[in-house]
Amino acid sequence: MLELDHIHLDFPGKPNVLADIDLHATPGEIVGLVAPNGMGKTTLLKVILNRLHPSAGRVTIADHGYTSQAQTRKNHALICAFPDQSDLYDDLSGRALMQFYAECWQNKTKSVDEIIATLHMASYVDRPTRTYSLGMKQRLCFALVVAANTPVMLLDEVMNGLDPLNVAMISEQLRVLRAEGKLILIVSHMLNNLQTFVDRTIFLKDGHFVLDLDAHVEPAHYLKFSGDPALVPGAAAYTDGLAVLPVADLPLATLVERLTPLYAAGLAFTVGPLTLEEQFNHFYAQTDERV
Amino acid sequence: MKALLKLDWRAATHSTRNVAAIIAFLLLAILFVPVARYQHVGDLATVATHAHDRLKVAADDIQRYTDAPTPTLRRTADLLNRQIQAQNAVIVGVKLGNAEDIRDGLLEGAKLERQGAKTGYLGVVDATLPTWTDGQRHLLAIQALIHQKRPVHVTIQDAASAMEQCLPLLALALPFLIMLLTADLWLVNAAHPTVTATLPVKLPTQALTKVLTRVALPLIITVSIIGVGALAAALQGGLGDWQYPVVVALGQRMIVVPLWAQTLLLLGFAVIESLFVCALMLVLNAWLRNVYWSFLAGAAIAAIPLAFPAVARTLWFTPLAGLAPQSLFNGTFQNEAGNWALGLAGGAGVLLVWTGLMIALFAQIVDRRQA
Repeated sequence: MLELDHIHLDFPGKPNVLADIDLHATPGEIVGLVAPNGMGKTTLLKVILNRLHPSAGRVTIADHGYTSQAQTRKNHALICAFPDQSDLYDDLSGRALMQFYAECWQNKTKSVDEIIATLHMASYVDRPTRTYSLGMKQRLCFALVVAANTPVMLLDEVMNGLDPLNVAMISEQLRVLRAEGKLILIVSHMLNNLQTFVDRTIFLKDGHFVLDLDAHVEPAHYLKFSGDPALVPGAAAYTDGLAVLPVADLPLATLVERLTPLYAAGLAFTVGPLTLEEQFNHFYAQTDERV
Repeated sequence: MKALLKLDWRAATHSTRNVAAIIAFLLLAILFVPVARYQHVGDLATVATHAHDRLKVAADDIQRYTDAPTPTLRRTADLLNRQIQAQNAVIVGVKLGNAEDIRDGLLEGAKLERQGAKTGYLGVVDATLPTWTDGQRHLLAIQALIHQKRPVHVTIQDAASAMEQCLPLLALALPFLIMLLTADLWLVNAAHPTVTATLPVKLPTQALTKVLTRVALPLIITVSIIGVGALAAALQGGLGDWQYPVVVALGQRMIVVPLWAQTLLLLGFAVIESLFVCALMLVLNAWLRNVYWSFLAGAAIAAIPLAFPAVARTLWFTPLAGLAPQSLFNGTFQNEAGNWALGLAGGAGVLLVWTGLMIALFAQIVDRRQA
């Protein structure tokens, strides 16, 4: 459905903003894109939308690249990007904007009223958007993408400014959209939330995809603790303050033996897979050190 | 396109700025009659008195600075004195309610205005005396009134007499009103980039929906101003005589049309004016990328024909004349030039041609940016 083929992009004075990016994403998939600020996530979304033109490589949506203006329009009919709150029309109501998205992208299957009810927006959706709070606007921006009902959805920081209840609601809606066969590419810094619904998580670093985690593959388990790694034989520092020891091949007796010093030192520990947040800290802390 | 047209229309009609502009213009329309009466606009006695005073100043100049008037100066002084007498007849006619004196005074005054303008008022320096166009316009109007046996409007007393005075002012304000409403025509996209940048709609279609919206808006406002202004006047004195003859420079010459026809001509011209101003604003928006600079540049261009009518007359093939519709309507630009492009129909044609050129230029700018 969405393919990025050896995408390369330079900015003046800033080479390799994107370097040799490859991606193949299919319908019914939620792909999380993860990186610190300024690493090129939004730039990549702009390349996918043809708002930035790569110096090399090709973006393909449903097997068609941006080969002409007519084809660009056809591609844009299949894809909808999460708008920025500050770009909303202040004097128009949320409903008017949702109707515009639904009509512009020719959504004939999902009614605006239904979306308003699902996202609990009825109490404010008919007011001008300038009267909305941050969270209300964020929900509206998500509702606009849902109203467009396109096969491909690009969501940039969709959870920003939302309270936990709304984060849970949007997360649930993302699962529903996936079940409907949508391909969702989501950029988020809320990693703990992200890993509850993504199918894949891709880490972007120095213009490259450095890690592509498949959420459906059983992850390796680790003994994780905060403290000196030397306390546990075989453990290593994973991030600043977090030490880990792979436990997959350890017999239970050995594991218990390794836990004893932690217990004696009164250190808290857990056993389980590495979370996205831990992996994020691991990857990008190294970047900072190298810089 | 339908969805975008609806969005643009909603955005234009819900815009706080546009709503404020509409309310302000409608308030002006409602207040036009009382303000005009207070300022003696359309008061024939006041108009004749001002004309009388200007003529008197010019005549006094000749008396004051010439010891032994030459035959040429005597002729100028004679023309001025006869015009003064004609204006006196009008003033007395209005004060005594004598319609015959008014008509005779106006007829004689108009003939003398034409005659005086032909001679160039030799010997009179820096005088703001009527031009030949003024004289011709006044003559055609009074001849039509006499021929149709209609009474002369001596003051604003009903909807028709109010509109006779209001329409030229509306024509004067029209380009600026349209610019006010279209200054952000294309930049509105730049204000909502993540909403509008990847719409599955062609760029020309996006531009077209904006132009259609902004052509409709000034037209509706113009109709509303005329409607509200006429209604406010009608509530005080009735509808009045909408067959009242007025003079417009339609082609190469001035012709007499009824007031209702002038109203329709202005509305038609408002559509063409809006199309051109929209096209101009597309280009200015694309070039300057700033709403305020775009409005300022557009207003500066529109001010040229007002400040320098001769420039608009010389550069008749440019849209300058069309940006001063009241001068096109009343024949100020035509002024014996015999140039079809300086009449209302020709000016509209020139504007349409330039609309096409501006849209082509805009498309080129946008294409170059996208490449």
